[in-house]
Amino acid sequence: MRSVVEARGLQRRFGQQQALAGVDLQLEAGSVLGLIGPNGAGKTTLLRSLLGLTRCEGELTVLGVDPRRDHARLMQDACFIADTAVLPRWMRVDELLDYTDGVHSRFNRAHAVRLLAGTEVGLRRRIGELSKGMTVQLHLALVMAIDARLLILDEPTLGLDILFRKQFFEQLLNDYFDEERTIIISTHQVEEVENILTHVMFMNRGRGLLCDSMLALEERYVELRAVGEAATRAAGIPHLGQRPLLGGKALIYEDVNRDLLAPLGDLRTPALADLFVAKVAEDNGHE
Amino acid sequence: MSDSKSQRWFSLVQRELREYRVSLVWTPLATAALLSLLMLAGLFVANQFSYLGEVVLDAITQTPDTDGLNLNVQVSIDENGNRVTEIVTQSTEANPSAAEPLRRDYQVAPAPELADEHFWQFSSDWRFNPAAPGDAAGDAPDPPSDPIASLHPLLYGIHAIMLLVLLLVTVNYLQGCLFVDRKDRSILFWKSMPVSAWDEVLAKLSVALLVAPALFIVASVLTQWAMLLVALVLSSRVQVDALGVVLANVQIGRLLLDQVLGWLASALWVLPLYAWIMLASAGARRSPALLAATPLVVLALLEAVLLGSQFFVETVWARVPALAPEGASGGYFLRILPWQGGGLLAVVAGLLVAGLLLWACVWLRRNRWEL
Repeated sequence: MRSVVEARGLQRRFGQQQALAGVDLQLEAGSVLGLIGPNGAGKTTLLRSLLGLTRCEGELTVLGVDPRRDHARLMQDACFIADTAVLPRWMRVDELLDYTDGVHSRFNRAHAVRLLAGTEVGLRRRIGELSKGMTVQLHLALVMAIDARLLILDEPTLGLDILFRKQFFEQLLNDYFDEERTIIISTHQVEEVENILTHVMFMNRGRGLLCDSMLALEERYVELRAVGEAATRAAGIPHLGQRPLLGGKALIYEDVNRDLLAPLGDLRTPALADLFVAKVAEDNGHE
Repeated sequence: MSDSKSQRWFSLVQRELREYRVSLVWTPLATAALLSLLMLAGLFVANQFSYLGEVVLDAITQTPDTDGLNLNVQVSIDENGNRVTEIVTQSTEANPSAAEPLRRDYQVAPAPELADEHFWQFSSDWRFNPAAPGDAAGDAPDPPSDPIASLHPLLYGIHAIMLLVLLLVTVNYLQGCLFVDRKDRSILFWKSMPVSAWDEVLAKLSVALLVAPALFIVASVLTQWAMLLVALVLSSRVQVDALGVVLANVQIGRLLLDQVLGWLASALWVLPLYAWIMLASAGARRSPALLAATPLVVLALLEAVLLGSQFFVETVWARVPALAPEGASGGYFLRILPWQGGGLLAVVAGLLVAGLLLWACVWLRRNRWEL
């Protein structure tokens, strides 16, 4: 497999605050990585470092180039939606397509127009007049019409209603993603992206808490749902985190012998959100 | 490859013109339309010839003839609408500069008596008057006022107004061009395109230095031609050979060349100043205008207080395009070669400073773009 992102010991400091405190990340083509972390965890800084939008220390190669030196060259093969509503508000939709067509050799204008035809975004509309949802649709159509190898999405659906969000990720997965492409998504809506991810990375306070494939997570972590007496016994086994359930507890274990847990209750793969909460709580508890 | 490269530059420039379409595209057209309207108003609206009309006629008629006399034709319309033509003869000694064509010591006579054949053909005298340039060259080192360029000051006046508007518009453009997209965060979109910071900065600079001036100069030239048309209509009321007179008083080709080359020379000269404003635009957190002005004012004050001199102010001020002094307008606009006196060294120094400032712009654009 070809490596798309190779980062080792990435560091970035804003004054007193250590936004990135030595982050490692390896990602291969054909992956969908979910970057999950609380506010201020350094997700945006990490993504911007990968794109060469901010300076950082450490070893970094993205699609074979150092983004800090060759930002423009990287942008030939990488796309990003950095935030909702960053499209220039003064432009008309067709002017935006003109511009992209003019400067981006991998942009397919006809494809973008086709994608937009399925939305309410009219070509003659001014971007400032579009609703937030329509702006995101426009940006997604633009990005999907670019034949890029890496797509980075930083909170792409923030502030959108659930219908838009669902549609956004479905379209991304069905019409865009293939084995050649790599997508990195940072989001708070963990539940909504969980089923499209192949890899996940948890961040907290500028560090990566966990970075693994979804398959590996299934093997390493297990959630036990136990009630009554069994719950008390289960809590006696070293676990990562627990939360109350009706009449019992749900406990998440890391690298534990499942035969030991099986008699105590139901075993299942923990939801990403629950695992994340447990990991962050554990990390914060260590301080 | 070169095709896609030129298309790329076209897109970058087009994007700037679209963002600033009011100031860069509509303003020159509106200014041109306004000036043309004023001229037309002078022609049609007033029952009498307006001041503008008189200025045109004065301009046409103020050139000394071969006899060393100024012949002035003054046309007015009396209350009954009848045209009265007066021919004013005046010695050049009395008024050598011809700057004040109408003086108290005129001999005024009714038109029919003085309008002989010689007078009506003086257009050819203007065109081929060999005495004037020779005399002037002997008198002063300044370029002589061209004997056939009597319409030129007027046309340069129009050009001056257009370029003044251009300067205002350009300064506004420059202070916003690397700031506005940072403020509204659309820079995150621009940076998602494969366009390097150098391309971006140079495209914006070329818009300020070449594209916008080109638009303004085209508008200016069109206005000047409209002016000529007005002059033609005006003089056709008094002249038999109006076309001949007007054409004899203007050199369209030279005017055009002067104004285009004049701007190119000015562009070379003003470059460091423009780059400075761009740097302020790239670095500002709140107000690029303030950031651009403050260091200059502080430095000037420091120099004035500590050294008691004004070298810095003068150096900076000299970079501001200014009207060429009167009488020297035969050459470049806005100045006759702006670096005259300073020499080639000043140009090279200016370009070096501009290069450094642009490099700093690019660095800021790459590394310090967040507000």
